[in-house]
Amino acid sequence: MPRPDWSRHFRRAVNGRLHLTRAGMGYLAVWLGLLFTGLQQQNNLILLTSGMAAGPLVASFAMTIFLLRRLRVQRRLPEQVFEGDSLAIDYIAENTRHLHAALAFEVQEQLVPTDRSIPNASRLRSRVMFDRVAPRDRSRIRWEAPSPPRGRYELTSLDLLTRAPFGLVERRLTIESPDSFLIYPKITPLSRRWAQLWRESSQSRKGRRHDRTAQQQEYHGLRDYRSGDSQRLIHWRTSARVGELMVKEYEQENDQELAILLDAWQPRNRPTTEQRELVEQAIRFAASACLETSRTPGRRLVLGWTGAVPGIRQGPSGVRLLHEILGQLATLRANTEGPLSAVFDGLSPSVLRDALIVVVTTRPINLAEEIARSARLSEASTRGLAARLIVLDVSKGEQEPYLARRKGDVVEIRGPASKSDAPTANASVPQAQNP
Amino acid sequence: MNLYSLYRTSVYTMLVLATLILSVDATDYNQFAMLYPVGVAIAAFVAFVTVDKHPALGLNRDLANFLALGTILLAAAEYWANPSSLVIALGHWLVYLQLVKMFLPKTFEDDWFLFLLGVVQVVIGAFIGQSDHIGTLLMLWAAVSLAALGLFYLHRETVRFANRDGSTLTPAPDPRRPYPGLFNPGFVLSGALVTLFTIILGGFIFLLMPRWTGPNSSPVPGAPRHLTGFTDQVKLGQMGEILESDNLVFSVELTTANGKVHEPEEQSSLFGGVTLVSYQKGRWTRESGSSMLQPAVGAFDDRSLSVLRQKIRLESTNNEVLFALRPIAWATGPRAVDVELNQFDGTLVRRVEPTFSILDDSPKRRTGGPFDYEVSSIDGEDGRVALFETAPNPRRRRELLEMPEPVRQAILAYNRPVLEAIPERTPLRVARTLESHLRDSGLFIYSLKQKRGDPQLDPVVDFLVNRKQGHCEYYASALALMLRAEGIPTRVVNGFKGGDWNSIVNVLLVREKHAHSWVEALVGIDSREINGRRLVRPVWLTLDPTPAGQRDEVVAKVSNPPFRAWLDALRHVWMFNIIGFDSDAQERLIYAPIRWLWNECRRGFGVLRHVITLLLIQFFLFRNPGELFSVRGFFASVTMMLLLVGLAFLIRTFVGRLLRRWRGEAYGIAGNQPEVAFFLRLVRMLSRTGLERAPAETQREFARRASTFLTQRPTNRDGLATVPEQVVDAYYRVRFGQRPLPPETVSWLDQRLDDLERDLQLTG
Repeated sequence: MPRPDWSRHFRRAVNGRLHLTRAGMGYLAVWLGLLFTGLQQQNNLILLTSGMAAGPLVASFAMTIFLLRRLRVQRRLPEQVFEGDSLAIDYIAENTRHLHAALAFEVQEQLVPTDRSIPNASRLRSRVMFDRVAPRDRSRIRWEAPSPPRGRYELTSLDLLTRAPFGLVERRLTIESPDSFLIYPKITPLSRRWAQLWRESSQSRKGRRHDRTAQQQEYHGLRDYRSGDSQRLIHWRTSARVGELMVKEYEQENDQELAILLDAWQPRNRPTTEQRELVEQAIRFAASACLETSRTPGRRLVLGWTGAVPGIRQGPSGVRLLHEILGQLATLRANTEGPLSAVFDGLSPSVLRDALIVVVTTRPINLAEEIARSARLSEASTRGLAARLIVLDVSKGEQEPYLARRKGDVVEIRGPASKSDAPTANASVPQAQNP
Repeated sequence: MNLYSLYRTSVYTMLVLATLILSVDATDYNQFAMLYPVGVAIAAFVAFVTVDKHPALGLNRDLANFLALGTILLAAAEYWANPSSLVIALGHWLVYLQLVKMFLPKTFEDDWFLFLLGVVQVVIGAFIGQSDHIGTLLMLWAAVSLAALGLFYLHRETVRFANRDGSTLTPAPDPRRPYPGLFNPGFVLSGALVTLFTIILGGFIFLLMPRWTGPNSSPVPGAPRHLTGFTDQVKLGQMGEILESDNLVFSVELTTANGKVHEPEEQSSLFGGVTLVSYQKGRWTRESGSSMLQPAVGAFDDRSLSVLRQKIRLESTNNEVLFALRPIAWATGPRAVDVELNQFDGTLVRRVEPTFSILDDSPKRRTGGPFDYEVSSIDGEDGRVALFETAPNPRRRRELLEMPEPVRQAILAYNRPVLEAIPERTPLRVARTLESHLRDSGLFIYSLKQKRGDPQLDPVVDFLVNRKQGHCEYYASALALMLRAEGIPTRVVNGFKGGDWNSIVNVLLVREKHAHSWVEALVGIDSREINGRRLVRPVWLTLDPTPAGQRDEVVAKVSNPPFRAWLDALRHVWMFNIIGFDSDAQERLIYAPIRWLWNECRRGFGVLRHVITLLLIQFFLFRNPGELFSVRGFFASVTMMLLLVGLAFLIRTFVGRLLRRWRGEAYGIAGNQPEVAFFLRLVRMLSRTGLERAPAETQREFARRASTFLTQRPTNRDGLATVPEQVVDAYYRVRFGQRPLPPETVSWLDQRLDDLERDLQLTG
């Protein structure tokens, strides 16, 4: 039998905060009036009435302590949510008392953005009321609200509060339960022009039409036939030998590489609302492009960003990389000083040589100047770069043609992305070189 | 019934009860008072089925305001019609406002307002009356109010969460059927516990409220009852009017001199009231002239006398006569001067002074309201001597023998055969013989029927000769006159015999049906020395000629409702312990025990301190250094050292906490690791520029990245980009190499960090 943790109980008891509610203050005023009248008149009936009227007030102080005892509350957070989607948090309350139900108690907490510089990022308060949790039972309630702007949101503690049994006194018990979650940037579906851009870029790189027939793919092996597989993929000889349908499996060639370089610049001093909104648009576009790219397996994806500490995430497209990229974009701060050339310096030679590079920026870029400032971009690597480099200046709305403006698009990422997952992409910092 | 309906029902019940409390004792001032609670109940029902179910049917707010103004006129009209009932008119105004509010679509504020109206009505009701009916209603009101408050809270929470701020809950709370499974045994038990706890707590607070006035300081309105048969002149047979009534007259707590409860023998105690001396044509009259004495002032404090104490609460009557066992040794009222005793006939009366009432501003001589007084009476054989009475002089003695001559002759003729058998005619023997004749001969029957055998005859003679049946007054009158005819001075005493003993609260409850009449015969004069004074006092022999068995049967036939004992007990508690709770009772119940406990604690701790001091002296006192080298010396020195260590530890902990608090939390972090404070400073500095150290990044890697970052800065000067690596070098040396830094190195690092900080601030 486990020993009771008295110190924890004591801390919980001490941690609770009591205060009179508005109704309680009114009640107290009326009670004081009664008491004064009774004492002044020395009227026993009025004194008795005031004595009994004090009962609910004093009982409230005592009862609130009892009512929050043996209640356990847990929260279940989503790992991440896309901005604009519904944010849902599950609260589970367990009443371990044997006889008494827990009535009308509330769970509150604050969702605090770690970066207040993101437009409209402000504290969000979740409030959940459990109307009744039967003895030795548990109850779950889901709180849902439109998700706030992108960023990391921290939750430090759960406030468990009750005003029972009369609503005169409120007791608030704070349970330390630190946690955090990410709000990914809002995703906007991309238009056909984006796909077209991708195809044209591939053709120009390989000098041939880039289609997705099996002939351009590398043979990987055989596997069981699954519903929906093309009949053209069935390996008839093996199927005849083993007595059941077997299909050939191919792995796409790893030759489709996309590098999105995000230059989310904004002035250091007093950026305007429009300028801050441009940064958000650039981030959203980058996120949408990364998501679109990740939907096709076999591609390689590179995301680079400017800033005080420029960085790069890269790897084979997939769920894990996508979560890493979206997580980075969720917490990305606007760049106030870092040059684009620093990002170029961080790119690997193969990317510079073959990849389609899309620069999403919020300011006009002088590519020649950036290339000149970059230590990595040698003559050899820049050859043909102009054909593979696309600059989309968000301040001029150059990203707009690539966005499909449709309502009701649902974005879904399949697959787990737990915090324990090891990152598969390489994070690197451009090596600084002395001038 | 769902929560909302239950809540509404409880609120309306609470309001009806509040109006009932307001009205139940107001009927003396307003004959229509009891119509108000009925009206509120009907209105509550109508509001429940209309407005509360369909808010659209409710009154318009403007119309409600107009009606509320109109209620002022109604109350003013009531006051104008009866200017003496201002408070009741105000109470009725609240009822009108309450009715208007009932028919409004209610917000939370409206509901709170209804609660407030209910409380104020109860307060006014408490001003108007303090009867036991109000007590019952008040307890009921308190319980219902608690339920209403609890349900109101649940209802408020439901509504509060139904109106959400853009967020949704799954499953969503259903405002129509909230709290599923709420009403189960656990809820009822919790509710009962909270109610009980609240009422007990309320009781404690009530007891602790300071009182600074004695009993009956509160005005008690209401028409007091008249007790027939206890006035200065009593017509024979008049007492029969009350003998069939069950109304309570007074309640008595009887205790012996040492404070033990005394339970009297069944129907044996005689509580004397008015003493009647002169008889004329069927009427008894009190003795003319009087000499009043305050028995509390002239109390007999003779420890040799056996005393029976009576704490009496007389119900509201308009009689001035007080009742007590005789003879009286000491008596006092709420104030010592409130009770007086007639030295001639031993009648105890209360002094009546003008009283003022908030309900009626004209001063009146009123005797209404319960009256508490205490009496000590002489018990046992000494009970014949009337200590406070003066021995009758010849004139008064003649008065005690007076009777109409025809009556004397008729009675003498009647007495003759009765007394023939007595060999020696002493007053005592004659008195006992005649008493026994009336009581035990079987010739006389106890009856409450009033009829005359021969209207021409004196009623007493008619009783003796013709009727031979009647109640105690006839028996007492007959014996008194029979003894007077034989030359024995007598007087008739009207009072009460026995009562209903309530063993729950150990109180004797005396009702009108216990009224009784008996005879006191003067059988001698007692002369004794008390408190150094020679006192000459009359010796009265109490004679009760009424057949006790027959009387008891008749008394028992008067109504005896079920649960009487419990109802009486509750009523007694209410009257004595709630309404009658005063500064004296508070002193006795609360302050005196607390003082006693405090003194006992002080005494006990004093003894303890003394013992501990002695032990310490014995343990630690060494007369010479040689005594230190002993077993006692060893333990004493070890104890002292442990105490010193403990004290030092406490001081260190205390001072440490004070210092931490004074320095603040931020300092505390660095202060815990002073040797690496410079590194923490660098981390904080770079963090402000957006350069955060990743958890998996070593300090060295972080320093390299930071240097790269600083190198790219346009304002990079003085080789500030190397500062992170320099700091980390020093950090590694301290943290992992365990090699402390020389002061000049620390100073140099601080200098470099200052430069870096200044540079970062300059570049924003």
